[in-house]
Amino acid sequence: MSLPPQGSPPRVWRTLQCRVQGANHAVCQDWCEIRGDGTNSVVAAVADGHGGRKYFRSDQGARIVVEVALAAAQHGLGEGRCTREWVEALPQDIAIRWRSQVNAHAEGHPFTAEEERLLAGIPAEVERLVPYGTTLLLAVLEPGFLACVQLGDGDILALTDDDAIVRPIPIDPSLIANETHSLASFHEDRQAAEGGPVLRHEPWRLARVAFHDAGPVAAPKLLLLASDGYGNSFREPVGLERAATDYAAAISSRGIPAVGVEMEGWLRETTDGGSGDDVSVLLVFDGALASPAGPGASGEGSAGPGAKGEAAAGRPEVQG
Amino acid sequence: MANRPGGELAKRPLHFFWLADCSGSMSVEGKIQSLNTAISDAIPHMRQVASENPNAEVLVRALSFSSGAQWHVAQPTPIESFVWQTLVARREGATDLGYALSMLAGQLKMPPMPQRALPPVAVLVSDGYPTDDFATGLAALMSEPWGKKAVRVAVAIGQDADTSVLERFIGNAEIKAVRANNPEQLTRFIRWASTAVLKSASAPASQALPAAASVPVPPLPVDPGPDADADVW
Repeated sequence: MSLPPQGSPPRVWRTLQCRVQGANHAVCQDWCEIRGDGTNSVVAAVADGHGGRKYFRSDQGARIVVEVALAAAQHGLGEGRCTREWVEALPQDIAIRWRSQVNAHAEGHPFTAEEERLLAGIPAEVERLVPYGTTLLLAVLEPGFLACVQLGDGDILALTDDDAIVRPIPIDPSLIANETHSLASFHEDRQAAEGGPVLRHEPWRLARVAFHDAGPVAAPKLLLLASDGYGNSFREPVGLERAATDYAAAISSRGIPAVGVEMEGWLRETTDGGSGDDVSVLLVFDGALASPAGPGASGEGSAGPGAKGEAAAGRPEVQG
Repeated sequence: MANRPGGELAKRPLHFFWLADCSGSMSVEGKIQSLNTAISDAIPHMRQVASENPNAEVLVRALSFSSGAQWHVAQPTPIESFVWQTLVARREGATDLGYALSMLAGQLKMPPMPQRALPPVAVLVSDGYPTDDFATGLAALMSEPWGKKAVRVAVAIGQDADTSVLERFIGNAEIKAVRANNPEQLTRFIRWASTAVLKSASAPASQALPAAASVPVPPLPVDPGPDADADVW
Protein backbone atom coordinates (compact mmCIF):
# COMPACT_ATOMS: atom_id res chain seq x y z
CA MET A 1 0.00 0.00 0.00
CA SER A 2 1.34 3.48 -0.82
CA LEU A 3 1.63 6.21 1.78
CA PRO A 4 1.28 9.92 1.46
CA PRO A 5 4.65 11.54 0.82
CA GLN A 6 6.58 12.20 4.02
CA GLY A 7 6.42 15.75 5.08
CA SER A 8 3.19 16.38 3.24
CA PRO A 9 0.78 18.66 5.06
CA PRO A 10 -1.95 17.01 7.12
CA ARG A 11 -5.17 16.41 5.32
CA VAL A 12 -7.95 18.90 5.45
CA TRP A 13 -11.05 16.86 6.02
CA ARG A 14 -14.35 17.53 4.37
CA THR A 15 -17.54 15.88 5.44
CA LEU A 16 -20.96 14.82 4.24
CA GLN A 17 -23.75 13.14 6.13
CA CYS A 18 -27.29 12.08 5.55
CA ARG A 19 -29.93 10.28 7.57
CA VAL A 20 -33.11 8.79 6.12
CA GLN A 21 -36.01 7.23 7.98
CA GLY A 22 -36.86 3.69 6.90
CA ALA A 23 -40.25 2.83 5.47
CA ASN A 24 -40.73 0.27 8.24
CA HIS A 25 -40.35 2.82 11.02
CA ALA A 26 -42.72 5.34 12.54
CA VAL A 27 -39.88 7.35 14.05
CA CYS A 28 -36.30 7.57 12.85
CA GLN A 29 -34.14 5.87 15.44
CA ASP A 30 -30.80 6.91 13.94
CA TRP A 31 -28.88 10.00 14.93
CA CYS A 32 -25.56 11.27 13.59
CA GLU A 33 -23.25 14.25 13.64
CA ILE A 34 -19.83 15.26 12.36
CA ARG A 35 -17.74 18.11 13.73
CA GLY A 36 -14.66 19.63 12.18
CA ASP A 37 -15.54 19.99 8.53
CA GLY A 38 -12.80 21.88 6.76
CA THR A 39 -10.18 21.27 9.41
CA ASN A 40 -7.57 18.60 10.00
CA SER A 41 -9.33 17.31 13.10
CA VAL A 42 -12.72 15.63 12.79
CA VAL A 43 -14.97 13.65 15.09
CA ALA A 44 -17.92 11.74 13.68
CA ALA A 45 -20.56 9.61 15.35
CA VAL A 46 -23.64 7.66 14.34
CA ALA A 47 -26.04 5.88 16.67
CA ASP A 48 -28.94 3.54 15.95
CA GLY A 49 -31.68 3.35 18.55
CA HIS A 50 -33.16 -0.10 18.86
CA GLY A 51 -36.81 0.75 18.31
CA GLY A 52 -39.27 -1.88 19.46
CA ARG A 53 -41.74 -1.86 22.30
CA LYS A 54 -39.44 -1.69 25.28
CA TYR A 55 -37.03 0.74 23.60
CA PHE A 56 -39.57 3.52 23.41
CA ARG A 57 -37.01 6.30 23.93
CA SER A 58 -34.18 4.86 21.88
CA ASP A 59 -34.31 7.81 19.49
CA GLN A 60 -33.45 9.94 22.51
CA GLY A 61 -30.78 7.49 23.57
CA ALA A 62 -29.20 7.75 20.14
CA ARG A 63 -29.11 11.54 20.29
CA ILE A 64 -27.61 11.48 23.77
CA VAL A 65 -24.84 9.04 22.92
CA VAL A 66 -23.81 10.96 19.81
CA GLU A 67 -23.58 14.15 21.83
CA VAL A 68 -21.58 12.65 24.69
CA ALA A 69 -19.32 10.67 22.35
CA LEU A 70 -18.41 13.72 20.31
CA ALA A 71 -17.92 15.79 23.44
CA ALA A 72 -15.68 13.13 25.00
CA ALA A 73 -13.66 12.83 21.80
CA GLN A 74 -13.24 16.58 21.37
CA HIS A 75 -12.30 16.98 25.01
CA GLY A 76 -9.53 14.42 24.64
CA LEU A 77 -8.27 15.96 21.44
CA GLY A 78 -8.25 19.36 23.04
CA GLU A 79 -5.96 18.02 25.71
CA GLY A 80 -3.68 16.34 23.18
CA ARG A 81 -4.50 12.79 24.26
CA CYS A 82 -4.12 11.00 20.96
CA THR A 83 -2.91 7.75 22.45
CA ARG A 84 -3.99 4.15 22.39
CA GLU A 85 -4.69 4.25 26.12
CA TRP A 86 -7.00 7.20 25.73
CA VAL A 87 -8.89 5.49 22.92
CA GLU A 88 -9.26 2.29 24.93
CA ALA A 89 -10.71 4.27 27.83
CA LEU A 90 -13.18 6.14 25.63
CA PRO A 91 -15.98 3.51 25.71
CA GLN A 92 -16.17 3.62 29.48
CA ASP A 93 -16.02 7.40 29.49
CA ILE A 94 -18.84 7.61 26.95
CA ALA A 95 -21.00 4.95 28.61
CA ILE A 96 -20.79 6.59 32.01
CA ARG A 97 -21.64 10.00 30.57
CA TRP A 98 -24.51 8.43 28.61
CA ARG A 99 -25.89 6.72 31.69
CA SER A 100 -25.77 9.95 33.63
CA GLN A 101 -27.61 11.90 30.96
CA VAL A 102 -30.16 9.16 30.39
CA ASN A 103 -30.91 8.98 34.10
CA ALA A 104 -31.31 12.74 34.19
CA HIS A 105 -33.63 12.66 31.21
CA ALA A 106 -35.71 9.87 32.76
CA GLU A 107 -35.85 11.80 36.02
CA GLY A 108 -37.18 14.85 34.23
CA HIS A 109 -39.54 12.85 32.03
CA PRO A 110 -40.99 10.04 34.17
CA PHE A 111 -42.30 6.97 32.40
CA THR A 112 -46.04 6.73 31.93
CA ALA A 113 -48.02 3.83 33.35
CA GLU A 114 -48.17 2.27 29.88
CA GLU A 115 -44.41 2.62 29.46
CA GLU A 116 -43.85 1.05 32.88
CA ARG A 117 -45.93 -1.94 31.74
CA LEU A 118 -43.68 -2.38 28.73
CA LEU A 119 -40.74 -2.70 31.09
CA ALA A 120 -42.18 -5.63 33.03
CA GLY A 121 -39.45 -8.16 33.65
CA ILE A 122 -36.58 -5.71 33.19
CA PRO A 123 -34.33 -5.64 36.28
CA ALA A 124 -34.86 -2.53 38.34
CA GLU A 125 -31.16 -1.64 38.20
CA VAL A 126 -31.32 -1.03 34.45
CA GLU A 127 -34.98 -0.30 33.98
CA ARG A 128 -34.36 3.38 33.29
CA LEU A 129 -31.64 2.69 30.73
CA VAL A 130 -33.22 0.00 28.53
CA PRO A 131 -35.80 2.28 26.87
CA TYR A 132 -32.93 4.45 25.61
CA GLY A 133 -30.96 1.53 24.18
CA THR A 134 -28.75 2.37 21.23
CA THR A 135 -25.60 1.44 19.37
CA LEU A 136 -22.64 3.73 18.68
CA LEU A 137 -20.02 4.20 15.98
CA LEU A 138 -17.39 6.88 16.61
CA ALA A 139 -14.42 7.98 14.52
CA VAL A 140 -11.73 10.46 15.49
CA LEU A 141 -9.29 11.78 12.90
CA GLU A 142 -6.28 13.87 13.76
CA PRO A 143 -3.16 14.37 11.63
CA GLY A 144 -1.68 10.88 11.27
CA PHE A 145 -4.15 9.32 13.67
CA LEU A 146 -7.42 7.47 13.30
CA ALA A 147 -9.34 6.06 16.23
CA CYS A 148 -12.61 4.19 16.06
CA VAL A 149 -15.01 2.99 18.72
CA GLN A 150 -17.85 0.60 18.02
CA LEU A 151 -20.55 -0.69 20.35
CA GLY A 152 -23.12 -2.77 18.50
CA ASP A 153 -23.84 -3.14 14.82
CA GLY A 154 -23.07 -0.81 11.94
CA ASP A 155 -20.05 -0.39 9.69
CA ILE A 156 -16.89 1.66 9.50
CA LEU A 157 -14.91 1.42 6.27
CA ALA A 158 -11.67 3.17 5.32
CA LEU A 159 -10.70 3.71 1.69
CA THR A 160 -6.93 4.09 1.47
CA ASP A 161 -4.96 6.15 -1.03
CA ASP A 162 -4.41 3.06 -3.18
CA ASP A 163 -8.12 2.27 -3.13
CA ALA A 164 -8.01 -0.63 -0.71
CA ILE A 165 -10.99 -1.07 1.59
CA VAL A 166 -10.09 -1.69 5.21
CA ARG A 167 -12.38 -2.23 8.15
CA PRO A 168 -10.62 -0.67 11.14
CA ILE A 169 -12.97 -2.76 13.30
CA PRO A 170 -13.80 -6.19 11.86
CA ILE A 171 -17.35 -7.43 11.51
CA ASP A 172 -18.64 -9.16 14.62
CA PRO A 173 -20.09 -12.45 13.36
CA SER A 174 -22.11 -12.92 16.54
CA LEU A 175 -24.33 -9.94 15.75
CA ILE A 176 -27.03 -11.50 13.64
CA ALA A 177 -30.83 -11.66 13.61
CA ASN A 178 -31.15 -8.00 14.59
CA GLU A 179 -29.45 -8.64 17.93
CA THR A 180 -26.80 -6.16 18.93
CA HIS A 181 -24.65 -4.95 21.76
CA SER A 182 -25.97 -1.80 23.29
CA LEU A 183 -25.29 1.13 25.56
CA ALA A 184 -28.09 -0.43 27.62
CA SER A 185 -26.48 -3.90 27.80
CA PHE A 186 -25.95 -5.33 31.26
CA HIS A 187 -24.65 -8.57 32.68
CA GLU A 188 -24.73 -10.61 35.88
CA ASP A 189 -21.55 -10.58 37.90
CA ARG A 190 -21.49 -13.94 39.59
CA GLN A 191 -18.09 -13.24 41.11
CA ALA A 192 -19.45 -10.46 43.31
CA ALA A 193 -18.02 -10.64 46.82
CA GLU A 194 -21.21 -11.25 48.74
CA GLY A 195 -24.95 -11.38 48.44
CA GLY A 196 -25.15 -13.39 45.22
CA PRO A 197 -24.95 -12.26 41.59
CA VAL A 198 -24.94 -8.53 41.00
CA LEU A 199 -26.26 -6.85 37.90
CA ARG A 200 -23.70 -4.60 36.30
CA HIS A 201 -24.10 -1.97 33.63
CA GLU A 202 -20.68 -2.06 31.97
CA PRO A 203 -21.41 -1.93 28.26
CA TRP A 204 -17.89 -0.71 27.56
CA ARG A 205 -16.76 -4.32 27.98
CA LEU A 206 -18.63 -5.06 24.74
CA ALA A 207 -17.11 -2.18 22.82
CA ARG A 208 -14.33 -2.62 20.30
CA VAL A 209 -11.76 0.00 19.45
CA ALA A 210 -9.21 0.58 16.72
CA PHE A 211 -6.18 2.82 16.87
CA HIS A 212 -4.01 3.66 13.88
CA ASP A 213 -1.13 6.09 14.15
CA ALA A 214 0.80 4.78 11.19
CA GLY A 215 0.11 3.31 7.80
CA PRO A 216 -2.50 4.12 5.21
CA VAL A 217 -5.49 3.66 7.49
CA ALA A 218 -4.26 6.42 9.81
CA ALA A 219 -5.02 8.92 7.03
CA PRO A 220 -7.56 7.35 4.71
CA LYS A 221 -8.71 8.93 1.49
CA LEU A 222 -12.28 8.46 2.70
CA LEU A 223 -13.89 7.11 5.82
CA LEU A 224 -17.48 5.85 5.76
CA LEU A 225 -19.57 5.27 8.85
CA ALA A 226 -23.04 3.77 8.45
CA SER A 227 -25.83 2.39 10.58
CA ASP A 228 -26.64 -1.25 9.89
CA GLY A 229 -29.66 -0.44 7.76
CA TYR A 230 -27.25 0.63 5.05
CA GLY A 231 -25.04 -2.47 4.93
CA ASN A 232 -28.08 -4.73 5.31
CA SER A 233 -29.49 -3.31 2.09
CA PHE A 234 -26.82 -4.80 -0.16
CA ARG A 235 -27.11 -8.35 -1.42
CA GLU A 236 -23.41 -8.99 -0.76
CA PRO A 237 -20.92 -7.43 1.70
CA VAL A 238 -18.87 -6.23 -1.26
CA GLY A 239 -21.83 -4.00 -2.16
CA LEU A 240 -21.15 -1.84 0.89
CA GLU A 241 -17.44 -1.74 0.10
CA ARG A 242 -18.29 -0.54 -3.37
CA ALA A 243 -20.31 2.29 -1.86
CA ALA A 244 -17.19 3.73 -0.25
CA THR A 245 -15.33 3.59 -3.54
CA ASP A 246 -18.29 5.02 -5.46
CA TYR A 247 -18.72 7.93 -3.08
CA ALA A 248 -15.04 8.82 -3.45
CA ALA A 249 -15.38 8.68 -7.22
CA ALA A 250 -18.53 10.78 -7.17
CA ILE A 251 -16.95 13.43 -4.95
CA SER A 252 -13.96 13.52 -7.24
CA SER A 253 -15.92 13.79 -10.46
CA ARG A 254 -18.90 15.87 -9.40
CA GLY A 255 -17.81 17.83 -6.36
CA ILE A 256 -19.00 17.99 -2.80
CA PRO A 257 -22.22 20.00 -3.09
CA ALA A 258 -23.54 17.84 -5.93
CA VAL A 259 -22.96 14.65 -3.97
CA GLY A 260 -24.52 16.18 -0.89
CA VAL A 261 -27.63 17.03 -2.84
CA GLU A 262 -27.91 13.50 -4.22
CA MET A 263 -27.34 11.68 -0.94
CA GLU A 264 -30.88 11.76 0.32
CA GLY A 265 -32.21 10.24 -2.88
CA TRP A 266 -29.51 7.60 -2.91
CA LEU A 267 -30.14 6.60 0.69
CA ARG A 268 -33.89 6.56 0.11
CA GLU A 269 -33.40 4.29 -2.89
CA THR A 270 -31.10 2.07 -0.83
CA THR A 271 -33.44 1.54 2.09
CA ASP A 272 -36.52 1.18 -0.09
CA GLY A 273 -34.86 -1.46 -2.25
CA GLY A 274 -33.03 -3.09 0.61
CA SER A 275 -33.49 -3.28 4.35
CA GLY A 276 -36.37 -0.86 4.90
CA ASP A 277 -34.49 0.29 8.00
CA ASP A 278 -33.35 3.79 8.96
CA VAL A 279 -30.11 4.56 7.15
CA SER A 280 -27.39 6.98 8.17
CA VAL A 281 -24.19 7.50 6.21
CA LEU A 282 -21.33 9.76 7.29
CA LEU A 283 -18.40 10.49 5.02
CA VAL A 284 -15.11 12.03 6.08
CA PHE A 285 -12.70 12.50 3.20
CA ASP A 286 -9.59 14.27 2.04
CA GLY A 287 -10.67 17.65 0.76
CA ALA A 288 -8.25 17.23 -2.13
CA LEU A 289 -10.50 14.45 -3.40
CA ALA A 290 -12.99 16.97 -4.74
CA SER A 291 -12.56 17.85 -8.37
CA PRO A 292 -10.12 20.75 -8.82
CA ALA A 293 -12.35 22.08 -11.54
CA GLY A 294 -15.60 21.42 -9.78
CA PRO A 295 -17.69 23.65 -7.63
CA GLY A 296 -16.79 21.91 -4.41
CA ALA A 297 -13.05 22.07 -4.62
CA SER A 298 -12.43 25.18 -2.67
CA GLY A 299 -15.62 25.12 -0.76
CA GLU A 300 -17.88 26.97 -3.12
CA GLY A 301 -21.42 26.59 -1.87
CA SER A 302 -20.05 25.43 1.47
CA ALA A 303 -18.24 26.57 4.53
CA GLY A 304 -14.57 27.11 3.71
CA PRO A 305 -11.62 25.28 5.22
CA GLY A 306 -11.16 25.96 8.86
CA ALA A 307 -14.76 26.91 9.32
CA LYS A 308 -17.39 24.74 10.87
CA GLY A 309 -19.98 23.24 8.68
CA GLU A 310 -21.56 20.10 7.61
CA ALA A 311 -23.71 22.52 5.72
CA ALA A 312 -21.04 22.08 3.10
CA ALA A 313 -23.32 20.04 0.98
CA GLY A 314 -26.56 18.28 1.32
CA ARG A 315 -28.78 18.36 4.28
CA PRO A 316 -27.27 17.13 7.53
CA GLU A 317 -30.49 15.56 8.63
CA VAL A 318 -33.03 14.36 6.21
CA GLN A 319 -35.99 12.38 7.38
CA GLY A 320 -37.89 10.41 4.82
CA MET B 1 -29.22 11.70 -11.56
CA ALA B 2 -25.91 9.94 -11.03
CA ASN B 3 -25.92 6.23 -10.22
CA ARG B 4 -26.51 5.28 -6.63
CA PRO B 5 -23.29 4.31 -4.85
CA GLY B 6 -22.91 0.72 -3.82
CA GLY B 7 -23.71 -2.72 -5.15
CA GLU B 8 -26.90 -4.57 -5.91
CA LEU B 9 -29.71 -3.99 -3.46
CA ALA B 10 -31.76 -6.82 -2.04
CA LYS B 11 -34.45 -7.42 0.51
CA ARG B 12 -33.37 -9.25 3.60
CA PRO B 13 -33.98 -12.99 3.27
CA LEU B 14 -36.33 -14.67 5.74
CA HIS B 15 -36.02 -18.43 5.55
CA PHE B 16 -39.18 -20.30 6.55
CA PHE B 17 -39.04 -24.05 7.20
CA TRP B 18 -41.87 -26.57 7.54
CA LEU B 19 -40.76 -29.67 9.45
CA ALA B 20 -43.47 -32.24 8.84
CA ASP B 21 -43.97 -35.60 10.54
CA CYS B 22 -44.73 -38.23 7.90
CA SER B 23 -44.51 -41.26 10.17
CA GLY B 24 -46.89 -44.21 10.00
CA SER B 25 -49.31 -42.74 12.56
CA MET B 26 -49.82 -39.70 10.36
CA SER B 27 -51.35 -41.97 7.70
CA VAL B 28 -54.45 -42.70 9.79
CA GLU B 29 -57.54 -40.67 10.75
CA GLY B 30 -56.92 -38.19 7.95
CA LYS B 31 -54.02 -36.48 9.71
CA ILE B 32 -51.66 -36.11 6.76
CA GLN B 33 -54.51 -35.02 4.54
CA SER B 34 -55.51 -32.37 7.08
CA LEU B 35 -51.91 -31.18 7.35
CA ASN B 36 -51.62 -30.88 3.58
CA THR B 37 -54.86 -28.93 3.47
CA ALA B 38 -53.86 -26.67 6.34
CA ILE B 39 -50.51 -25.76 4.80
CA SER B 40 -51.98 -25.30 1.37
CA ASP B 41 -54.67 -23.03 2.81
CA ALA B 42 -52.06 -20.97 4.63
CA ILE B 43 -50.04 -20.09 1.52
CA PRO B 44 -52.21 -17.18 0.30
CA HIS B 45 -52.19 -15.72 3.80
CA MET B 46 -48.40 -16.02 3.94
CA ARG B 47 -48.26 -14.15 0.63
CA GLN B 48 -50.41 -11.43 2.11
CA VAL B 49 -48.09 -11.09 5.10
CA ALA B 50 -45.10 -10.99 2.80
CA SER B 51 -46.65 -8.25 0.69
CA GLU B 52 -47.13 -6.16 3.82
CA ASN B 53 -43.42 -6.41 4.60
CA PRO B 54 -41.83 -5.54 1.27
CA ASN B 55 -38.30 -5.45 2.62
CA ALA B 56 -38.35 -9.10 3.68
CA GLU B 57 -37.91 -11.83 1.07
CA VAL B 58 -39.76 -14.87 2.40
CA LEU B 59 -38.16 -18.09 1.15
CA VAL B 60 -39.91 -21.35 1.96
CA ARG B 61 -38.60 -24.89 2.29
CA ALA B 62 -40.00 -28.08 3.77
CA LEU B 63 -38.45 -31.12 5.43
CA SER B 64 -40.35 -34.34 5.96
CA PHE B 65 -39.30 -37.03 8.41
CA SER B 66 -40.36 -40.60 9.09
CA SER B 67 -37.72 -43.32 8.72
CA GLY B 68 -34.93 -40.90 7.96
CA ALA B 69 -35.61 -37.39 6.71
CA GLN B 70 -35.57 -35.71 3.34
CA TRP B 71 -36.11 -32.35 1.79
CA HIS B 72 -39.67 -32.18 0.55
CA VAL B 73 -38.92 -28.70 -0.89
CA ALA B 74 -35.16 -28.34 -1.05
CA GLN B 75 -34.72 -25.01 -2.76
CA PRO B 76 -35.53 -21.79 -0.92
CA THR B 77 -38.65 -20.79 -2.84
CA PRO B 78 -40.08 -17.27 -2.84
CA ILE B 79 -43.48 -17.38 -1.22
CA GLU B 80 -44.95 -15.60 -4.22
CA SER B 81 -44.28 -18.65 -6.37
CA PHE B 82 -44.46 -21.34 -3.70
CA VAL B 83 -46.89 -24.17 -4.38
CA TRP B 84 -47.45 -26.79 -1.73
CA GLN B 85 -46.65 -30.31 -2.85
CA THR B 86 -48.67 -32.99 -1.13
CA LEU B 87 -46.94 -34.88 1.65
CA VAL B 88 -47.43 -38.63 1.92
CA ALA B 89 -47.08 -40.47 5.21
CA ARG B 90 -45.13 -43.72 5.22
CA ARG B 91 -47.00 -46.66 6.60
CA GLU B 92 -44.75 -48.27 9.23
CA GLY B 93 -42.55 -45.16 9.04
CA ALA B 94 -40.63 -44.13 12.18
CA THR B 95 -40.24 -40.59 13.53
CA ASP B 96 -36.63 -39.54 12.92
CA LEU B 97 -37.00 -36.00 14.18
CA GLY B 98 -33.40 -35.88 15.39
CA TYR B 99 -32.12 -36.52 11.90
CA ALA B 100 -34.43 -33.86 10.49
CA LEU B 101 -33.06 -31.33 12.96
CA SER B 102 -29.49 -32.12 11.98
CA MET B 103 -30.43 -31.58 8.33
CA LEU B 104 -31.99 -28.25 9.25
CA ALA B 105 -28.84 -27.33 11.16
CA GLY B 106 -26.83 -27.86 7.98
CA GLN B 107 -28.84 -25.19 6.21
CA LEU B 108 -28.42 -22.70 9.01
CA LYS B 109 -24.62 -22.64 8.90
CA MET B 110 -22.86 -19.49 7.65
CA PRO B 111 -22.69 -19.88 4.70
CA PRO B 112 -25.21 -20.56 3.26
CA MET B 113 -27.00 -18.25 5.69
CA PRO B 114 -25.86 -14.64 5.20
CA GLN B 115 -25.20 -12.39 8.17
CA ARG B 116 -27.82 -9.89 6.95
CA ALA B 117 -30.69 -12.41 7.00
CA LEU B 118 -33.75 -11.92 9.16
CA PRO B 119 -34.36 -14.52 11.89
CA PRO B 120 -35.51 -17.76 10.23
CA VAL B 121 -38.77 -19.41 11.21
CA ALA B 122 -39.10 -23.16 11.76
CA VAL B 123 -42.51 -24.74 12.27
CA LEU B 124 -42.48 -28.33 13.51
CA VAL B 125 -45.63 -30.42 13.17
CA SER B 126 -45.78 -33.89 14.74
CA ASP B 127 -48.27 -36.37 16.11
CA GLY B 128 -45.89 -38.52 18.11
CA TYR B 129 -42.47 -38.67 19.65
CA PRO B 130 -38.98 -39.10 18.19
CA THR B 131 -37.73 -42.61 17.58
CA ASP B 132 -34.12 -41.60 16.91
CA ASP B 133 -31.48 -39.56 18.73
CA PHE B 134 -33.44 -36.35 19.17
CA ALA B 135 -30.98 -34.83 21.64
CA THR B 136 -28.08 -35.00 19.20
CA GLY B 137 -30.14 -33.48 16.42
CA LEU B 138 -31.35 -30.67 18.67
CA ALA B 139 -27.81 -30.03 19.87
CA ALA B 140 -26.63 -29.77 16.27
CA LEU B 141 -29.34 -27.23 15.56
CA MET B 142 -28.64 -25.17 18.66
CA SER B 143 -24.90 -25.19 18.05
CA GLU B 144 -25.49 -23.05 14.98
CA PRO B 145 -25.93 -19.33 15.75
CA TRP B 146 -28.80 -19.17 13.27
CA GLY B 147 -30.33 -22.25 14.82
CA LYS B 148 -30.39 -20.51 18.19
CA LYS B 149 -31.78 -17.30 16.73
CA ALA B 150 -34.46 -19.06 14.66
CA VAL B 151 -38.04 -18.54 15.75
CA ARG B 152 -39.14 -22.07 16.56
CA VAL B 153 -42.76 -23.02 17.07
CA ALA B 154 -44.45 -26.40 17.17
CA VAL B 155 -47.88 -27.87 16.52
CA ALA B 156 -48.79 -31.18 18.10
CA ILE B 157 -51.38 -33.27 16.30
CA GLY B 158 -53.53 -35.32 18.61
CA GLN B 159 -53.20 -36.60 22.15
CA ASP B 160 -50.25 -38.91 21.49
CA ALA B 161 -47.87 -36.13 20.54
CA ASP B 162 -45.07 -35.58 23.03
CA THR B 163 -45.31 -31.87 23.75
CA SER B 164 -42.30 -31.97 26.07
CA VAL B 165 -40.12 -32.84 23.08
CA LEU B 166 -41.76 -30.14 21.00
CA GLU B 167 -41.11 -27.62 23.73
CA ARG B 168 -37.47 -28.61 23.90
CA PHE B 169 -37.37 -27.78 20.22
CA ILE B 170 -39.04 -24.43 20.88
CA GLY B 171 -36.52 -23.71 23.63
CA ASN B 172 -38.43 -20.78 25.13
CA ALA B 173 -40.27 -21.21 28.40
CA GLU B 174 -42.75 -18.53 27.40
CA ILE B 175 -43.86 -20.35 24.27
CA LYS B 176 -45.77 -23.61 24.48
CA ALA B 177 -46.48 -26.12 21.76
CA VAL B 178 -50.06 -25.91 20.57
CA ARG B 179 -52.12 -29.08 20.31
CA ALA B 180 -54.58 -29.61 17.46
CA ASN B 181 -57.20 -32.25 18.15
CA ASN B 182 -59.20 -31.87 14.96
CA PRO B 183 -58.67 -30.55 11.43
CA GLU B 184 -60.16 -27.14 12.16
CA GLN B 185 -57.74 -26.55 15.02
CA LEU B 186 -54.86 -27.73 12.87
CA THR B 187 -55.82 -25.25 10.16
CA ARG B 188 -56.00 -22.45 12.68
CA PHE B 189 -52.69 -23.25 14.34
CA ILE B 190 -50.92 -23.72 11.03
CA ARG B 191 -52.22 -20.36 9.90
CA TRP B 192 -51.01 -18.73 13.12
CA ALA B 193 -47.59 -20.32 12.78
CA SER B 194 -47.26 -19.29 9.17
CA THR B 195 -48.70 -15.78 9.33
CA ALA B 196 -48.59 -14.18 12.76
CA VAL B 197 -45.17 -15.62 13.49
CA LEU B 198 -43.97 -14.79 9.99
CA LYS B 199 -45.19 -11.23 10.35
CA SER B 200 -43.32 -10.81 13.62
CA ALA B 201 -40.10 -12.14 12.11
CA SER B 202 -40.44 -10.00 8.97
CA ALA B 203 -39.91 -6.66 10.62
CA PRO B 204 -38.15 -7.22 13.91
CA ALA B 205 -36.80 -4.35 15.95
CA SER B 206 -33.24 -4.57 17.18
CA GLN B 207 -32.76 -6.40 20.45
CA ALA B 208 -30.03 -5.53 22.87
CA LEU B 209 -28.05 -8.54 23.97
CA PRO B 210 -28.60 -10.50 26.08
CA ALA B 211 -31.98 -11.05 24.47
CA ALA B 212 -34.46 -13.71 25.57
CA ALA B 213 -35.50 -14.09 21.96
CA SER B 214 -34.65 -12.20 18.81
CA VAL B 215 -38.31 -12.03 17.81
CA PRO B 216 -41.33 -11.80 20.13
CA VAL B 217 -43.76 -14.59 19.24
CA PRO B 218 -47.33 -13.32 18.96
CA PRO B 219 -50.03 -14.84 21.16
CA LEU B 220 -51.72 -18.06 20.15
CA PRO B 221 -55.12 -18.00 18.49
CA VAL B 222 -58.15 -18.54 20.73
CA ASP B 223 -60.35 -21.50 19.87
CA PRO B 224 -63.70 -20.33 18.53
CA GLY B 225 -67.06 -22.12 18.73
CA PRO B 226 -68.32 -25.44 20.04
CA ASP B 227 -67.33 -27.45 16.94
CA ALA B 228 -63.72 -26.83 17.70
CA ASP B 229 -64.07 -28.96 20.82
CA ALA B 230 -64.74 -32.18 18.88
CA ASP B 231 -61.59 -34.24 19.32
CA VAL B 232 -60.79 -36.41 16.35
CA TRP B 233 -57.20 -37.23 17.11
